[in-house]
Amino acid sequence: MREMSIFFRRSPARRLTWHAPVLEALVVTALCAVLALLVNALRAEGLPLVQETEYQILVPCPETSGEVETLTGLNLTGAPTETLVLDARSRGAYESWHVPGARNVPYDYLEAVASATLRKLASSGAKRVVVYGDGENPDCGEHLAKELAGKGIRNVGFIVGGAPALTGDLPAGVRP
Amino acid sequence: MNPRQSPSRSLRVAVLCCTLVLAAAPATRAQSAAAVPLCRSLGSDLEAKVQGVFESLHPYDGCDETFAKCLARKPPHPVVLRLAEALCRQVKEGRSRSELERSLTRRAQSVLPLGKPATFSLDESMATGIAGAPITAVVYACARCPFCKVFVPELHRELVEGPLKGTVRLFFRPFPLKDHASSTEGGLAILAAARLGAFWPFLSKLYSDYDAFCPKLLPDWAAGLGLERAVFERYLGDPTLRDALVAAKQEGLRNKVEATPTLFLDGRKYLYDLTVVSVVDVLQELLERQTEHAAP
Repeated sequence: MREMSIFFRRSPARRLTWHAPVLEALVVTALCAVLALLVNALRAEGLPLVQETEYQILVPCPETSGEVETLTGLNLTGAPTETLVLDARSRGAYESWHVPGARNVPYDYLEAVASATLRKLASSGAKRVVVYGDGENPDCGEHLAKELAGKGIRNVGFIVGGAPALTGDLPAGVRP
Repeated sequence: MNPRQSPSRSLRVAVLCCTLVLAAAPATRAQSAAAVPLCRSLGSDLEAKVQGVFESLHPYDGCDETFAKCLARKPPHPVVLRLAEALCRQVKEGRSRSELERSLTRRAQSVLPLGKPATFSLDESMATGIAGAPITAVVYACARCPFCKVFVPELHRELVEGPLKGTVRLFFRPFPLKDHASSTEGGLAILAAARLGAFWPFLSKLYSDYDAFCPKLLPDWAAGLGLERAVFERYLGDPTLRDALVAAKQEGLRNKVEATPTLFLDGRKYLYDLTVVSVVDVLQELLERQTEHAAP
């Protein structure tokens, strides 16, 4: 212990107390701090001792979006229950025409898809989700598909061109 | 002359020449960095890094060779000098060489007139700067975006009070993000304030009191700016205002806006560093280009 002591000499007979090493530690810390402040003061671009501006990391805020499959038609292979077809258009447009069996999830450009709707979709048991919209620019079907994918729904695709593009896939006499 | 000493002397002369050449080489290389004022203050380590960058990267305009060779010209092209200074700034920030290269590409895409420009339905009530200014800037932003609350007011201040005053007309376009709570209410309030002719003061209030935001407070804030509370509240409930907000968002999506803030300069999507310093630098470059093209 005596060899470790830097600043204080002790006689062998004298008993060591706890405060001597604490004092030494304080002295070493103070010396280090003084040295650091001196070096900082001498540096051309010394660090400011008080942060003048609020520290913040700023990154652009993205819209929720996930990877989706781009589909050119409604190719429903496998059992009907394996694919869930969603119509992203308004209620009125859906009621005037929709793909048989399609569910209506009107896409809102301002409000997020309700969590109850997401839960229903997740628990539907379908292996993939196909969305079609109005086919305009921007296409509500494409954006609904991206939002669903961004919120964790897997295997989502959208039909390019939306409902108007489905004309060729439909039986004669049925038109979007 | 002693023939025995001759090879030794020649060797000494050769060594001396090599030493002189080697000593002169860094000095020649350092000339390109020294040509750029900002690069001179980097310190020897960073200056060496800048030199390496200058010797491998090419400016996208103004000169067809590497930065090092382009900067050695007397005088260097103004675009080359500006780009070199931007590179030095980024080296100072600690960017790697590949990051610098990517950044330079993005700057080129933001500045050069490639592809079809974006189109906008601009609302004069949400503009600042003089009409007919040489450059039109459009910023898509969300009322509840933490980056926007810093970036948009800084950019506005720079364009209204800074050295670019009178040269840029800035338009604001609301782009509410679904992940930001109350972004729709914020967007509607911005449009309502714009209808009442107090767009920028209201936006400034919205961003300066960002942390105190609450939809219920919006009429109070409008009233605090001297707007008629009843009219403001009526506008907030107006379906046509919501349609206008949807239209602004759809326009943004058509223009491939994926995040906020997104800036367009003369119809070109700005892909370079989203800091006000960089935006101002790019705007100055665009102004120089316009002046250059306008000159006979």
